[in-house]
Amino acid sequence: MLEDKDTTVIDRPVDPAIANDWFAIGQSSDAAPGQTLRRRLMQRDIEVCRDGSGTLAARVVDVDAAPCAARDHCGCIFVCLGAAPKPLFALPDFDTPGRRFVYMGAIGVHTGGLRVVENFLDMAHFPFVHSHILGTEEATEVREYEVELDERQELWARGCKFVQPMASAASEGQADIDYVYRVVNPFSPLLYKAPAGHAGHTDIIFLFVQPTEEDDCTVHFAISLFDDTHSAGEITAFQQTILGQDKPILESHVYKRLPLDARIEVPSRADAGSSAYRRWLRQIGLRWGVEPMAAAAPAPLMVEVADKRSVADGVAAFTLRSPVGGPLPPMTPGAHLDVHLPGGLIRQYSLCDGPADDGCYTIAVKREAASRGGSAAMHDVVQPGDLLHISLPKNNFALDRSAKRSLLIAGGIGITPLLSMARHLAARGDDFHLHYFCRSAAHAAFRTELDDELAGRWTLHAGFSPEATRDTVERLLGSGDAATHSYTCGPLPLMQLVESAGAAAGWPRKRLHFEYFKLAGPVEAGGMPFELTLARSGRTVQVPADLSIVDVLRSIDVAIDTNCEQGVCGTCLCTVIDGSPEHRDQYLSAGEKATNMQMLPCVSRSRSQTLVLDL
Amino acid sequence: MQLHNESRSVFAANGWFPVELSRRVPQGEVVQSTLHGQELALWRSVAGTVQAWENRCPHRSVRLTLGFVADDQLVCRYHGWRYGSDGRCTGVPSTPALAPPPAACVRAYMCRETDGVVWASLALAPRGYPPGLPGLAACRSFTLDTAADRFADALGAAGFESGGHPAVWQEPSGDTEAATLLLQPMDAHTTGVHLFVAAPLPAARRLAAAQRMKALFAKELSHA
Amino acid sequence: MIKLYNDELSGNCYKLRLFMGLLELPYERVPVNFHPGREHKSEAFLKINPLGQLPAIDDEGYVLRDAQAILVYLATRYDRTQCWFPADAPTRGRVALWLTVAEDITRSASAARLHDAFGYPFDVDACRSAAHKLFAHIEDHLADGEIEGCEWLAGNAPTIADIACFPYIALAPEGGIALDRYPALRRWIARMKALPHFIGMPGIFAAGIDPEPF
Repeated sequence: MLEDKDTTVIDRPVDPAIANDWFAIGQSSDAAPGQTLRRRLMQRDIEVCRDGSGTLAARVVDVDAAPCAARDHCGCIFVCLGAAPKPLFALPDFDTPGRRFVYMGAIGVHTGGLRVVENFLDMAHFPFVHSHILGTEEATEVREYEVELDERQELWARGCKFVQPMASAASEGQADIDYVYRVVNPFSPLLYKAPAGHAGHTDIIFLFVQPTEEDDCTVHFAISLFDDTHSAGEITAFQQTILGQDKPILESHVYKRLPLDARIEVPSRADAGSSAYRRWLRQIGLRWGVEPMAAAAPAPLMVEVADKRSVADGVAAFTLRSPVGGPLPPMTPGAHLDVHLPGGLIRQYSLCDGPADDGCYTIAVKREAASRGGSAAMHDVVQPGDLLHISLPKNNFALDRSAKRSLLIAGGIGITPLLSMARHLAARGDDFHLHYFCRSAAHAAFRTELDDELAGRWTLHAGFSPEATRDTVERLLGSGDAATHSYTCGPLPLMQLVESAGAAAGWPRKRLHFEYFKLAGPVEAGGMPFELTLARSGRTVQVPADLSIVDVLRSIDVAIDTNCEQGVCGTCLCTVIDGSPEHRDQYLSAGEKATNMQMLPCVSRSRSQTLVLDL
Repeated sequence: MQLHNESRSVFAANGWFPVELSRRVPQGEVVQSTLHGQELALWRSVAGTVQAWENRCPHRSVRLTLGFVADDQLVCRYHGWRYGSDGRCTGVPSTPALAPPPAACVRAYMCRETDGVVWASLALAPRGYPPGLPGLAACRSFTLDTAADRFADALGAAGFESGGHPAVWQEPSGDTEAATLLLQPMDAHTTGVHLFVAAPLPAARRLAAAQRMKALFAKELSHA
Repeated sequence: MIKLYNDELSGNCYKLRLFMGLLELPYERVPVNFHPGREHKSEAFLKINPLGQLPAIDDEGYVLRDAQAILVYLATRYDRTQCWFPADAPTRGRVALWLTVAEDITRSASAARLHDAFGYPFDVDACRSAAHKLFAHIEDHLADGEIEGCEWLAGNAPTIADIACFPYIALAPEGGIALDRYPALRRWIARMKALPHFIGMPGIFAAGIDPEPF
């Protein structure tokens, strides 16, 4: 829905972050001498005219008719609304002999101008939006490239490469194409494009955005190239096809203004360019055209304790139902909830429900003598009929769909997620066996359920010594084949046992699943192991070669906010107190990395043997 | 997102409402619907379960209804990000060697299918369960420029009876052409109306029922 | 070989690209740049079509303008199945009716798009309002049709009537005309995209990834 133009907006000044930038409003030949052009720029109507000697003049049309600057540059007319216009961008290549300039139109697009710029900087969409032309489904990977904000405050992305079936009107077939992107101000990007090894024949494509409203713009599209063979019409047809294909995407963003909160729009590593662009917009304090919304905190889910019962020595099971008699959000086997306990504590508990348990969640809590209060609150304070605030089910311990056979290994209270897995696998008719290690038969939780529902498919190993446990685990893992996955949840010694026995028996990491972390796939495989100290608590932990800092923190139950976990969004940014980080992210600038004052623990590691973070 | 008068209205957002007919969400397609101002992307997993998702890819907020279903995944048109039936991103084609960002998860709303109707709720824990409508056949659907509760009032005034759920209204006559109307509060000013008649009426009589309803809506809404 | 005087962003030209694609009929595209080149008003093109409008075809010397007229010609001459422009009188009458509706769609929805995307100085509010009235009527027609098992504009099989009406309905959002309140129209659009050999155009995606470049 287009908004009515707000004519009272003129009283508000132009956003200071972009007030002194130049905006294209047409091609130079649009304004013949004696002609007046009327255009809309940032919610203001402006008039541009050219006098007999060719000089441009412009003014904002309102009561005061405020003058503004207008210049011809690179074939287009640029206007600046601010009192202190910045220098126009330099493009000496434009005047190279042999270059042709083709203006390809002023196209209105129903979206915010910042979205158009970001789409221009993006290569990852080529195989999907411009399939068979700028990209192909056979080569979707975006290879790493460098991004930087230079000393003139222009954003550059260099070393970009993409496989293109038909890179231009002059293309003779599939080729690997080199791209360099340059954003001279937030609404004015251009790109330099050449087939690999042909830098002498670089096309320069301009996509200057004339933002008319916060969620609407006109795109001035032009190209400077060396092509002598193709007509302006053929060149324009090719490039207009590309813009036309982008249009329905651009016009379908739910937020037409660009959100700068990475939690609303999660980037991947391939979005280094757009992440840097958004960071730049935050740094200059741009508000106009930006979606002001912050990511919403997750809504609370209240559930009623329908039942509380003892299921083993010191273990209580709680059945939680919707207080309004309907279903609860679906859970998946391996999922857990955050339970907000009376007294303000938050604890995670795994769900043990099977697929038939629509409308309820069942958790089990073991009374811990050395508890920080969580299990005591659950055992002693929470009663049937009470309302509890919980999170939605989250799953970092999901069943792998490719597994033909599942080996479930539970220790003590770790039975809860594995019971859920067993129930789901049984319902699907999949092959599995559950091995339950615990101190004694009286300590085994859910025995009745296990015997009733999983007869013949589970084995109790009660009261085993550490040696007997090790022998049993080694035997279990010795007999696995390439299609078997194992899932382990229990005390740390049991999990470490399964890890080492699995490694010794040749199990690859991806077939050994543990409840405490998910193997993310490090950005560059491997690194040096090092010791990590968390300054606030004084805790020290080893970070092995094949786990990220975030993986290790999760395994010791230290909460850290993450988002992309690929080193581009900056959410996990933390302060370095001591040690030398090894930066593997694409968020910090070269300068910031050199000071070593901050790092991104989702992908970065340590050069020094010890690293101290402010966590 | 606009939620109108939710605390007092029987069309409050914590209830279940019809969002589409089952037969209009076939395997392999993504279908757009709107409930309480929230756009939804409806699609069916290989297992046959209908999903009602926020119509927004968590990557760059492009509408998922521009995308397509491939195997048991919904693929976003913009960058080809793939989502499994639990809403989690299972693949990012631009970075095939990396696990997808864990935060990339589509908001999935509660959804249930009964008797040929897909019901959804925007609430995390909706009130009760959607009603069954045995023995009825879908006839056609209408989009009306009126708020759901005002339209329900007009139906009541025209002699329709509540069918035990705020969204269900029935003509009292009891003959085979008696209409059952399911109301879908699309937004504060728009209501989807799904007309059902007794199964199985032949096409000509279903068409006649549709014409009769059209005339009724025109009459009732001119003073609603 | 048929020559199609064509602009990639023109919905009217796309009617013919789509139809010839569905018929698997080979043809040659002659680019005529509509915006900003205004080549459709050039002397060279005015010799082909004195009204200076796209599309036009030249089929081995037979020159014809107007998208709907060209659809009739191509269907009559090249459609071996004779399904796209059936000979029976009632269907043919309905097809002719919907070909005129296609003109109404061009005058309203396409005009709104020309205003929003290419800066044409039309009364865009009037165009949008006319488009919505028209779409509500087509929505009603399609929804009633579905009751009787007729899923296409002129009956229970696709015809050139559907081809003629399709592009500017599918492109309507580019002119600020949302299709949110027309679910039957959206289902019909999905049926079009499911036709064998369907191709899109810039602004209209095929059902999955484009099977081949258009």
